[in-house]
Amino acid sequence: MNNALGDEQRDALQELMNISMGQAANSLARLIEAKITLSIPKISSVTPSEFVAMLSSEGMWHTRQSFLGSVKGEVVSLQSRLGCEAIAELMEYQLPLSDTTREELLLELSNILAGACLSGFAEQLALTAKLSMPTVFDPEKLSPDHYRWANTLSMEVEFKIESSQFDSKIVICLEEDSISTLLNRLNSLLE
Amino acid sequence: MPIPVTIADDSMMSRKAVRRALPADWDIEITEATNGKEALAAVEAGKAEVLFLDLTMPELDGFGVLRYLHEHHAKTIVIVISADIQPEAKKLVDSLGAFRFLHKPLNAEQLSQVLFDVGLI
Amino acid sequence: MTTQSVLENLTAKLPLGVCVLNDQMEVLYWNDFFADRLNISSDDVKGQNLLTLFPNEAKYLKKKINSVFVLNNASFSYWEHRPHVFLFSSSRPITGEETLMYQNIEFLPLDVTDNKVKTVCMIVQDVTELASYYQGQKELSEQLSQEHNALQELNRKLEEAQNQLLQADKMAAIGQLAAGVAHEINNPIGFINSNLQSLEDYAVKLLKLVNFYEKVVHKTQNKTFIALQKDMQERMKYQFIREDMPELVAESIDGINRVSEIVKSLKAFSHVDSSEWQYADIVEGIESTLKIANNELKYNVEIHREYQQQLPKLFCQPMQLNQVFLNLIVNGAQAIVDKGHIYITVSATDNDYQVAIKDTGCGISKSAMNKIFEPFYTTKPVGQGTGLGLSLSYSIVQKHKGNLVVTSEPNVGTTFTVILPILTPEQLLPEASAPA
Repeated sequence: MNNALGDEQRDALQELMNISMGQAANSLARLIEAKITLSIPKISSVTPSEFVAMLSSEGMWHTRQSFLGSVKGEVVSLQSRLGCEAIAELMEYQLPLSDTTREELLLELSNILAGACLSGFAEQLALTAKLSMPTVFDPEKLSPDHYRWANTLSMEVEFKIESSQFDSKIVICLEEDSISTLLNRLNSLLE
Repeated sequence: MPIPVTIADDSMMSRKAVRRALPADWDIEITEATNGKEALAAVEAGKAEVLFLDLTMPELDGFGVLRYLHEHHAKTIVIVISADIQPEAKKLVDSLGAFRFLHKPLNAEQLSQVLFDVGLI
Repeated sequence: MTTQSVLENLTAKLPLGVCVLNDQMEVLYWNDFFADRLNISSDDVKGQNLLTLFPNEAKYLKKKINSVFVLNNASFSYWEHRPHVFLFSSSRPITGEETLMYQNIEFLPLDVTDNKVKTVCMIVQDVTELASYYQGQKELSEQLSQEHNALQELNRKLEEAQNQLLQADKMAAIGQLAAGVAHEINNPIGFINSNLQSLEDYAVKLLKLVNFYEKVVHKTQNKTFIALQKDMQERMKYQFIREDMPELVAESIDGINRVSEIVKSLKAFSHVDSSEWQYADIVEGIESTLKIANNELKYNVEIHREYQQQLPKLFCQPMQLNQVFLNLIVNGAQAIVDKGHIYITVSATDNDYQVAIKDTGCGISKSAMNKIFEPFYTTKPVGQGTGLGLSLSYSIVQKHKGNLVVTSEPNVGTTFTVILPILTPEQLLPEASAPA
C-alpha cells in the first residue's frame, strides 16, 4: 500500500484543514469574542524523531487527546505561556490563575480547538472520530526510540489571538493504518 | 453568449468543488485563477463577470482583490467563498462590496440559491 | 424483553450518572445514579431546571453546558480541577477516608440537527477510587522527595565533616613534623646562642686590648712604630672592623633569639609542652592577655568589651587559651592600618562559650580565607609573622573540642569567634579519667 502523499492529495488535505480550522477559529472567536488569525496548514509525513523535535518548543504547554472512529490517532496541542492570562480573562476565568485553573483552561482551550478541527475535517471526508478527554503532558519525557510506528501523517495548524500574544498549535496525527483509509476517501473525493 | 466566470482559489480541490457545485445547465465560460493577481488579470481581460473568490491566497489575498475591484470595477459580481468564517471577516467582506459570503465547504444548493437571488439564473 | 426495554434498563442501571438536558437546562432524563442519590425519580425530575437543583455549582455547569450547545463539541470536567461538582457522598462510606465522591464529567452533544445541538448528555463517572490512589501516590512521592532532601543534607554534612577531618589530619601530621624539627634544632640553637654570647664577650675584650696597644705605641713616640701601626690598621680596615664587629654579633644574637622563638611556637603547636587543665575564668584570661598585648594596641586601637554577667568557669587549659586570644587580638591589631577598633564579646549558653573578637581592619581576601589556618601561611612581611599563630590557635581550640569560626569582609573587618563547649573533665580527657 502506498501511503505517500501526491501534490493533489496534499492540496486537498491542506484545503480540508483550512476549512476545519476556519470552523474551529469561528467557535473560539464566538466564545471569547476576539479575532483569531490562522496560519496556512502544514501537512507532512513525520518520523518519530521529527515528531519529538516538533513538540520540543520552549515556552509552551502541551496537551494530548486521542480519537477513535473510522480513523484513529491523537491530537496534540501546544499553547504559549505568553498571553495565557489574557485568554483566561476572555474566557471568564478568575485571575490570577492558580496551577489548577491554568491546567483547566489549557484543557478547555485545546478541547475546543481540537474538537472543532477534527470534527470539521472528519465530516468533510465522511469519516468518524470521537475525541476522548484531553490531558496535560510533558514532551520532555518523550523519546523517539519508544515508538512502534515509522511514520505518521501530521496536520499542523496555528491559531493566534490578535488582541493578546497568545499562540496555539494543533497537530492532528494519524495512526499508520488510518492513513490509507484517509487517502482512499480523499481519492474518491478528488475523482 | 456564455457568461464569463472566474474561480479564484489557490486550492485545486476547492476550484473543483466550485465547478461541481455550479448548475449544470448554466451557460458559462470558466477561467481559473490560483492567486489574487491572476484573478485581477482575469477581470481586466473581461473574463470575470462573476468572480468566485477565496480569501486566503498567496501573492494578493481576497481582501486585496475586493479592495481593487471596489475602486475600479464595481460591476463585477463577487461571491466570496471562504474558510475563514469569523464575523470579522464577513464584516470586512461586506464593507468591500461583495455580493455574498459563503462558507466552505461549499453547499451546492446554497450556491444555486445565491445565483438565483442575484438574478444570474 | 424488547431492545428498547433492554436499553432503558441498561441506562438506568449503568454505574455512571447519565442526565439529558435541553437548551433551557431542563432535565429530560436521568438514570438511577442521580435518582438514588437525590431521591428524585426520573419521572419526577422531568422538566426541572438543573441549575436550581444544583445551585452551588450552577455557574460552572451553565458555562460548561452552554459551550456544548454553542460549539457542538464535547466538554470535560476533571476531578483534579473540580473534584465535587455534584455533592454526592463517597462511594466508600465505611472504609474510605473520603467523604465526597470525586467525579469526572463529560458533556456530550446528543441530538444534533443541522449542526444545531438540541440536547446535551451529561455523564458523571465516580473516580473516588482513582483519585484516592492518585493522591496517596502523590503524598508518597512528596514524602520521598522530603526524605531525599534530608539525605542530601546529611550527605552535605558528611562531606563537611570529612573536610574537617582532613584538615585536622593535616594539622596532626604537621604537628608531628614540627615537633621533630623543633627537637633537632633546639640543641644547635643552644650552643650557637651560648657561643655567640662568648664571642660578644671576646670581641669586646679584643677591642679593648687593641686600644691598649695603640696607646702604648703612641707613648713610645717612635715615629716609625706609629707609622707602621697606622699603615697596618689602614690595610686591615681596622676602623671599620671595630665598628662593624659588635653590630654583627648583636644582630646574630637577635637572629638566633628569633629562631628560638619560632621553635618555641612550634613546640607549643605540637603540644610538646603540656599545659595544665583546670577550671578558669575566661574573662580574667582575656584581661591578662590584653595587658600583655598592650604594647601592640595602645597607639592605634581602641578596645571595646562586652562581657556577659556571671559567666561560669570553664574547664580548660587557660594558658593555651590565652595564647589563642593573644594571637587573635594581635592579628586584629595588625590588620588595622591606621586607627580602628577591636570588639571583644564573651557570652555563654548552657552548652557553650562564645568569644568573638572583631576588628575593623583590612579584612581577609576570599583567596586567603581557605589558607589562614594552614601552618606557615602568613601575609605579613618576612620576619614579622611565623605563620603559626592561627594554626596553633586552631589546634588549641580543637583540643578543647571547640571550633574557631571566621567571617570577614575585605576593607570592613574580620570576626574570629572561638566556640568552646562547656564539658566536664571526663568528657574532655577520657584517657586521663580511665582507670590505669
